[in-house]
Amino acid sequence: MDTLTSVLGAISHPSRRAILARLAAGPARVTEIAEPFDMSLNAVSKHLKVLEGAGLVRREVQGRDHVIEFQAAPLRQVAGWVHEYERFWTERLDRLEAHFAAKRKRKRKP
Amino acid sequence: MTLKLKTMDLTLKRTLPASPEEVFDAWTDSDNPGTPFSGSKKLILGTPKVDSLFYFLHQSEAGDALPHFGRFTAIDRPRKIQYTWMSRHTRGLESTVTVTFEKKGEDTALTLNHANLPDDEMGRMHDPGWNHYLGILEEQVKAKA
Repeated sequence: MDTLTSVLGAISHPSRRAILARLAAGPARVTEIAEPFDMSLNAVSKHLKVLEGAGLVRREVQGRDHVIEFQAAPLRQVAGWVHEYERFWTERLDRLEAHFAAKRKRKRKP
Repeated sequence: MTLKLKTMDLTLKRTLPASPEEVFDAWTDSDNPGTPFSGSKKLILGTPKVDSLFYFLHQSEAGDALPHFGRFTAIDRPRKIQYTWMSRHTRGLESTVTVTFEKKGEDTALTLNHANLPDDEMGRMHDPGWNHYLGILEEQVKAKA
């Protein structure tokens, strides 16, 4: 599986995106990651394995604890850095397109 | 002292379901949700003409106040609009926004070029940018599947 496919597959699940968002704030133990979610430890471990497979997290064994750390490199490889203004303009153009699409739809309604 | 700053250009293209005149007029209509001037906390725009100035205060998602200033350098309805653009993200230096509108049947091909942007960590975003970009990418992949 190539990087793009495995990264997109890994972030396609909302729980895994939420886990990544939590880990972006700093490394955490598996139990700490599971805490805010309504999920079993087993389910969280499965999600972490998928993220690990895509290279998005790294696991470090410290005694009995498994500490999970976010790895941004695969995301950078897939998306590259995004300029603040690329994001700003994309949002504005999305809205402009939605505005004109709705206007044309209204005009064409019999 | 010479200030050397690595810069970059952004070019975005979009086809919009409207005439070039409609899109051109919408671009400087602050009531239109798709313009850079909409949703500003404060706005001074007036009727754009060459050498007229604008100011708006944009609030980021994180709640930061981002003042923007610029002057119009080209107004050619309905083909082109160009202005300078200064903000914290341009390090207070003049960047240039050029928007062109080309008729494509019933639609308009819009090309936006934002030139002379500082190519540094202040201008480039990390996680929020990626999340946004990957969100779009993901939707596209899903739609094709």
